[in-house]
Amino acid sequence: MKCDDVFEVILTRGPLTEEMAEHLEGCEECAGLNEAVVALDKEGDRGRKRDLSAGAVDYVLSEAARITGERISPPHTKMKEWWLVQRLAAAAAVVLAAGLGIMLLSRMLAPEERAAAPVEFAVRDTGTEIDGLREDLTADISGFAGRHYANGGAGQLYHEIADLKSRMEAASAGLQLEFAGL
Amino acid sequence: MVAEDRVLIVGLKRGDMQCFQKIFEKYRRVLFAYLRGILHDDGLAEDCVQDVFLELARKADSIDIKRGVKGWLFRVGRNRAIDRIRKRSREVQSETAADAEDSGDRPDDDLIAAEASEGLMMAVRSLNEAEQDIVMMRFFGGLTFAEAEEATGVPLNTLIWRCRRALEKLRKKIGKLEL
Repeated sequence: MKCDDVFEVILTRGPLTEEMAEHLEGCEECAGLNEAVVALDKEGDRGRKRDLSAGAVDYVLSEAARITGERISPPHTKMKEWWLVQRLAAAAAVVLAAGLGIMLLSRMLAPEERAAAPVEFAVRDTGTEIDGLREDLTADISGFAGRHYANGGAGQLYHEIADLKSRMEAASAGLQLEFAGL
Repeated sequence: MVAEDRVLIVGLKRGDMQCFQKIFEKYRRVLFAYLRGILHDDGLAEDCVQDVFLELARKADSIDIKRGVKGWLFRVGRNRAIDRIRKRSREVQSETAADAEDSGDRPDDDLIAAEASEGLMMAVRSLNEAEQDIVMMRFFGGLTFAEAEEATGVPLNTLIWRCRRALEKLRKKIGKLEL
């Protein structure tokens, strides 16, 4: 039996065979090493019974929970997600607003009204012109009635009536053009 | 590695705090005992243990499931302790330089004082750093030599040889101290 074999068993806390136990009793060096190991084991056992202070234990557990939370879901990722949510919300709001606007316009302006609207504007414009002409004509006729034509007054009257006729023709032509454009 | 540890690491990577609690409960005392042994200061050792487990929470993703968490904890704890020792030795050096004339301490005085209650611990502290390290890991941290190899990066046979040499030194000191 060699000292190295016994020492290995002592150091690894393995079971000693009878032969080893006999060697240990007879070998001062191995017995001394065994004594040192036993003393260290006892000291180690005593040392391992001591715990951290309660404050240190609480601190580690609370800090570790915080750190683990950040590791699993880092703050910058949260920020990115938040920005993504904001952008999606903004895009959704724009689409919604556009949709609502279109819907409201559609309701305000029914199809038949939209179809009629250009005609109405054209008639209104032309009507204004005709009204103007009628007033002019009424004024002219009143003027003819109270006017005294002397020395070829018939010629002047002829020119005035021709002018009136050409203006009415122009208004009529304009009205036709506007309706043709529709 | 214990199969349970693998399950705990997987849970920890997923952010399961119960797994963290179990690892903390399982290893904090052995790590505390080891760090107290090499730092010789309860307060510093406690700070180191806190740092190590918070590092675990931070870097859980980087832990190799196959290699296990125990070796990782001791490796990080050992590095932290070495940093503290270096920092402390710088502070002590500057303080010692200032108080050099007042100092009457002698290494032998420590050993004489140790005979009363902390004889063994004082004997361990008289070993060199590498020997103290393996003794603390083996007997206070309860690591196997394979786990100690993983934690220190020192080859297994070197660790065994160091441990034997340390024990031989301790045997002589224990004989003198009659523990």
